[in-house]
Amino acid sequence: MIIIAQAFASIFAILVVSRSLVDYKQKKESLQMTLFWVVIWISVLALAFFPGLVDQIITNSGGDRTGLGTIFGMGLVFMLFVSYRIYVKANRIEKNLDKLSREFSLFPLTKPRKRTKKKKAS
Amino acid sequence: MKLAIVIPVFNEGKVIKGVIDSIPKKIKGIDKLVIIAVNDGSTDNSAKEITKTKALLLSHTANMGAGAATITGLEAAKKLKADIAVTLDGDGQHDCQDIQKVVNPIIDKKADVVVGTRLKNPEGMPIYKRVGNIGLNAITFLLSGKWASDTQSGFKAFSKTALSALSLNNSGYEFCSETIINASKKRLKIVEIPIKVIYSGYSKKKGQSVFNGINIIAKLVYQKITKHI
Repeated sequence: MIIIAQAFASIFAILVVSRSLVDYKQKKESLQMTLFWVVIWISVLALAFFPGLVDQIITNSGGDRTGLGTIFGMGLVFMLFVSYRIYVKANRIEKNLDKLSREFSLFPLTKPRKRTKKKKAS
Repeated sequence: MKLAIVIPVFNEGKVIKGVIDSIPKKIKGIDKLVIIAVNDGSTDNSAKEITKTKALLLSHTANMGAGAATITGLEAAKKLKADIAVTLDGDGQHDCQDIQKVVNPIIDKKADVVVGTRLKNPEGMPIYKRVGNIGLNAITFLLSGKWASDTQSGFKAFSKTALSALSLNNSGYEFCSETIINASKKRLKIVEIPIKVIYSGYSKKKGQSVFNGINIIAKLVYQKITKHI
């Protein structure tokens, strides 16, 4: 089970970090933002490969580790839901922007509509 | 027959004039030729360089992606009532003399979509790009059932039927695979023609990165699951 979780975390870490690096290379993302995502995903990988770390930190700070997995699981599901919603919304906005940009750029090719004179009411 | 040549342009100020000027003035079977350069929010002097040529300049206010710029160009081709549209990259990696080769199957009514394939003669193509292309070809095959040797080629030709039948939405490089998937779904006849590629230091820098390949796969799979392609 741990191995599946580790593979899962690794795939997502590669995806996010690669995207972030490409964006940084293309100057679409700042260095700070790129470093932020790299650090976050290295932390996720560290937790996936050494899950005992969380329990150790919590128990060292006087906490109770019972039920911690459940809380983390719920948090993970919630985060997945939020990510999904953001992805869908971003996709929608991207499509609308595309459409807007296209219509604007094609505007010089659209034939001007002939103006019809309104008949004056006698 | 009227031919529209669509060139998506993003920061190609150094080479774009040369690319447009190298397009042959006469192509067999073609009476009218129009060149559409879509400036995709370039921050260099690309737009200025395009205005020095005979090409029609269309501009995206912001950088929307290679796919978005190509779709804009194809829409313009439709508006200009083109019978055939050819897309080629603005970085100078394509030999414009090959335009005749890719339009021939459409003129002869043997194809609706022609893909200019670089992988039948991949000399000069870096190995990591060849491997990446094979991976993306495999994904495209799994999603469309159609095998093409170079799905990521930007050198393509479309018949009038294909122009009106295709409904393309992707703004990034995944647009290349989407074209094959959509054409296959619409039962359009796809033909591959080997083309020459000019790999200069400049065009090698301009291509897709390996990391981008991973994102293309993720997007295509997501869109297939959500039935967007």
